[in-house]
Parts: sequence; C-alpha cells; structure tokens
Amino acid sequence: MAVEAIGLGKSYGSTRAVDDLSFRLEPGIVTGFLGPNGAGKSTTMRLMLGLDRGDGQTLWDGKKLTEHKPVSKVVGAHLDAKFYHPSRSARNHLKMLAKEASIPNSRVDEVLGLVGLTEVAKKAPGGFSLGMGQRLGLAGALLTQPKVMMLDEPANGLDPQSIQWLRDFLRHYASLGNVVFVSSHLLSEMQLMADHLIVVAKGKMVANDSLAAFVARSSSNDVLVRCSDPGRLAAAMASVGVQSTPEGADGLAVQLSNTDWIGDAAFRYGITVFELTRRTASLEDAFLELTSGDQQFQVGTEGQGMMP
Amino acid sequence: MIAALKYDWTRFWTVRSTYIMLALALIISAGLSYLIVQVSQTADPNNGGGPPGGIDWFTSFSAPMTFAAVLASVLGAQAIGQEYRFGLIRLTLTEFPNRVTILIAKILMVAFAGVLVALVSYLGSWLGLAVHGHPTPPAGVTVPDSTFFGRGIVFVVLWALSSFALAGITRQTAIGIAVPIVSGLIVENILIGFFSGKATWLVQHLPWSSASRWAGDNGFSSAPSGWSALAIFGVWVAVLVISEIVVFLRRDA
Repeated sequence: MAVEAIGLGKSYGSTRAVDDLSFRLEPGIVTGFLGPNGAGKSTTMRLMLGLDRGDGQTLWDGKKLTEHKPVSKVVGAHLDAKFYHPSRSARNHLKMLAKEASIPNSRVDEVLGLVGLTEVAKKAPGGFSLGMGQRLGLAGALLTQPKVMMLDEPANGLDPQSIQWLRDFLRHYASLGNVVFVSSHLLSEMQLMADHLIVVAKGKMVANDSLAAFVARSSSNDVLVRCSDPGRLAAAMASVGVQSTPEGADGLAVQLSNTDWIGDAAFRYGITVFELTRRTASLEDAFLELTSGDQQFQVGTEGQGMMP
Repeated sequence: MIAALKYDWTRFWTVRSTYIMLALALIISAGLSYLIVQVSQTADPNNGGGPPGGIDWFTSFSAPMTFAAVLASVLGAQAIGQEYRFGLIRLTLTEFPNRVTILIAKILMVAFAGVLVALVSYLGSWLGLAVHGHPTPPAGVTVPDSTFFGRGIVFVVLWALSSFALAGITRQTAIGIAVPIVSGLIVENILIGFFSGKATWLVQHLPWSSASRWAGDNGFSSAPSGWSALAIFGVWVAVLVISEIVVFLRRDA
C-alpha cells in the first residue's frame, strides 16, 4: 500500500500552517518527517488522517480512508503519549481500540508484552511516565498490524534501550512491506532509522529526498587536508574552480569529496600531505543548514534578557 | 455501526465513573424513597399530631428521577467531553473517520445509559420501599396511568442527551453537567417566579421545567402538561443534539 498526500493545506486565521503539501509514502521503507517547531508536521499528520479540516486529500491505496473497512487495518497512528483515559487500564484501553477491527484479546496481551507493559496492563495509566505513555500509544498503533504506521515524535521520553528497540522495530516493520511514517526531533536517531526524508518549514515542503541524497547536498561535506603548503594547495584548487578554506595552521577544508583527486593534485604540486580525511555532514548539519531561519519560534541569543 | 457500538460500549464499561453513577442512583433512590414513606407515615404535627397521611408509594419512584437525571447527565457529558479532555477523540476518529457513525453510536450509548440509570433508580426506590415494609402498593393508593414509569425513563434519557450535546458543543464535560442542573433546578425557578404573570408564554415553555412537569411533578399549574410539555423539552434537546452533530462534523478533532 502506498499513501499519497495531495495538496494538503490548513490555515489558522491569517497563518498558513500547511501550504500545498504533496508527497507520496512508499511501502518497504521508513520515511522520516522533519521540520522545526511549528513547521506543520503534526497538523499535516492530522490532515492526512482526516482529524483536521483543511484543503487537499490523502489517498490510501488510491482510496479515501473512509472507504476502507476496517480502517485500523489500514493505518495505526500514534500522535501523542497522553491520549488515554487516566482511569481506564492499559489493557482496557487497548481492548477498546481493538473493537473496530474485532481483534481478539489475545492480541491485546501480545502487544502489551511486545512494548513491555505486561506488568502494568491492569493499572490505570494516569500514573504512567512519558515513556510508558509512549509505549501504550505504540501498542495502540500496532495492535491491528496496519499497513501504514504513522507516528508523531514516538521516541520522546523513551530511554536509550527503548529508542534502539523502536528503531529496530520500525525498520523491521517497514521491511515487511509496510509504510512507516515517523516524525522526530531526534535527528541522530532519524539518521539511523529513516531511508527517506520529507522536510517541511513554515508549512512548505523544503526537501523530499532519500536520506543519503539529502545529507550529500550539505556544504558540510568536505575533505580536510593537512599539508606542507596549504596556501599553494588552495591556489591550485581555486585554479580548477574548487573552493577551499584554511583550517588551523597547516589545514585546508576542500569542498570536494574525491580524496584521490586531491592527493594526486598535491603530489603534482610537490606538496607533502600529512592527512587527508573525508568529512561527511550529519543529518543535523544538513537539516540545520536547510532550515536555518525557518523556525516558527526562535530561541533568544545567549545573554539576551539577562540583567546587566 | 456495530463496530462503533462495540467501541463505545467498551468505553462506557471500562471507566470507574460508570459504576459510581449507577451505585449512586441505587443508593440515593433507595434513601429518598425510604424517607418519603417515612415522612408520609409520620404523624402530622400541623394536624395536632393527628393520624398519618397515606403512603406516597408511587411518589417514591418519581421523586428520585431528578437525581437520576443528574447522574445520567454525568455519563452523557463524559461520553464526549472526556474524549476531548484526554485527547481520545483523535484516536476515536482515526478508527472511525466517518464521524456520523461514531456520533450515532455515542448517542445510542447515552440513551442506553439514561435507561440504565433510570431502571437502577427505580430498583433503588423499590428497595427503599421494601426495606420500609412496603414492597407492593398498599390498598387505597392512587395508581398512576400506564405511562408513569416510561415517562421517568424518557425524562432521564432526554436530560442525559442534553448534557451530551452541551458537552460536545463546548468540549467541556463540566458545562454539559452544570448547565442542565443550574438551568433546571435554579435559573428556571427564578424565571418562573420573576416572569409569572408578566411573560406567561416564556415561563410555560422553559425546557427543564416542562420536562419535570411531564415526568410527574405538577410544577407550574397553568403551563402545558402531558405530551405538550414533553414536546417543549424534546424540541430543546433536539436543537442541542442537532447543533452538536453539525459542529462535530465540521470542526477539527
């Protein structure tokens, strides 16, 4: 099953929260959904599910969600860690969700075990930690083994072991031919988890690319050369149109990824090379480079607002 | 629709408040009916300590109905208000994107809750009478018409639906519970006192007073009674429920 969002849009007063977003979610891969705070990620997910009223439509295997029966076999969504009644036990919460697709209680117990909540299954989740709430939300999303898993910030509040489990689980779930669509602010995690990225800023699409291609576009990808004459090497690079910047006493950051070519050029100019290191940008570097200035809610600079 | 009913059925029976409201309906009704019989059997001091009046056997069933209605209104308001309060509405509407289906299921469940609370209240009233030694009507008691018990049930159901609609429109459980109580038990009585003789038409068509009149309480003597009184309350509840349906279908979850 593929999911196609077409022309999604949503305004709050004069603010355009989501502006003509169109993208396609493919099965078999994990698609990451990134954007600064207030970029419209959660609103987009709600629009896709029909929870918010707005422009555009989302087709699930070519059909609207309302045309599928049972819907929970199509999509399992986890949008918030606190979406439960505080006095309804975790098990009863899942039993309620299971009714739409007539899922047996044995599956409820199985899922509780999968997310590690068996011991608190009969307890009211009012006293659950954020991490336990996340687990309960995840359990609800995967209860029916849906074709599409949609998760909004599922790693918030999880401990490192649980984050690793979540990553492995989602990658495995996608490998079974399912669609996995997940938003997260944990970019290092997303780098390990996602195959494809959709990046939004101020409600608009700014990237829709594979993770590798997205990171490769960053200007932070370069080669560090430590050598006997960085000035002469910089001139040699400039003569063929390659940009470089001095770095340290004997270093040069060359905006090129081909280390063989740089080494060869240094050799031809009689420059001794001490170090030649290819430096790859992280997802965080690429993300910050792309979205700098697009934050809806900017943080202040250091010292701003402090007493003189 | 069956799946939506099962979903809401599970929602209804898996929270403590359902059992608390049913227990309160039983206890309050039993206590009230016992007190009513007790009072009606006590010698009347205004009559020089003369013989006690007749036993209000049927009043013991109708008098607790207002309390039953308030308890049912809590369940009605929670049916939708708590979904908004705890964000569950987003889970619910993800599973049931056809909003009409889940809303109809909820309306049916609220009606069921009203019937259940009314029946439990009747059971409590009977228990109070039985404990007092009058499990059956004593000889000479005036027997009301055949719709007596049914009217009480409809009264409770409509009250619960009005709370459901108000809670849904405002997304506030507390408003769904408080508005009918304050309107029915306080505001309308003040309005009747203030406007009686000045704006008769207004006081004759106050919704919760009409409902009480129809359910058995005589109330405002010159106002419409019987089915006309039911129609007044019914129209008010219908307006509220239709308003709730419109906003539920149109706005964001």
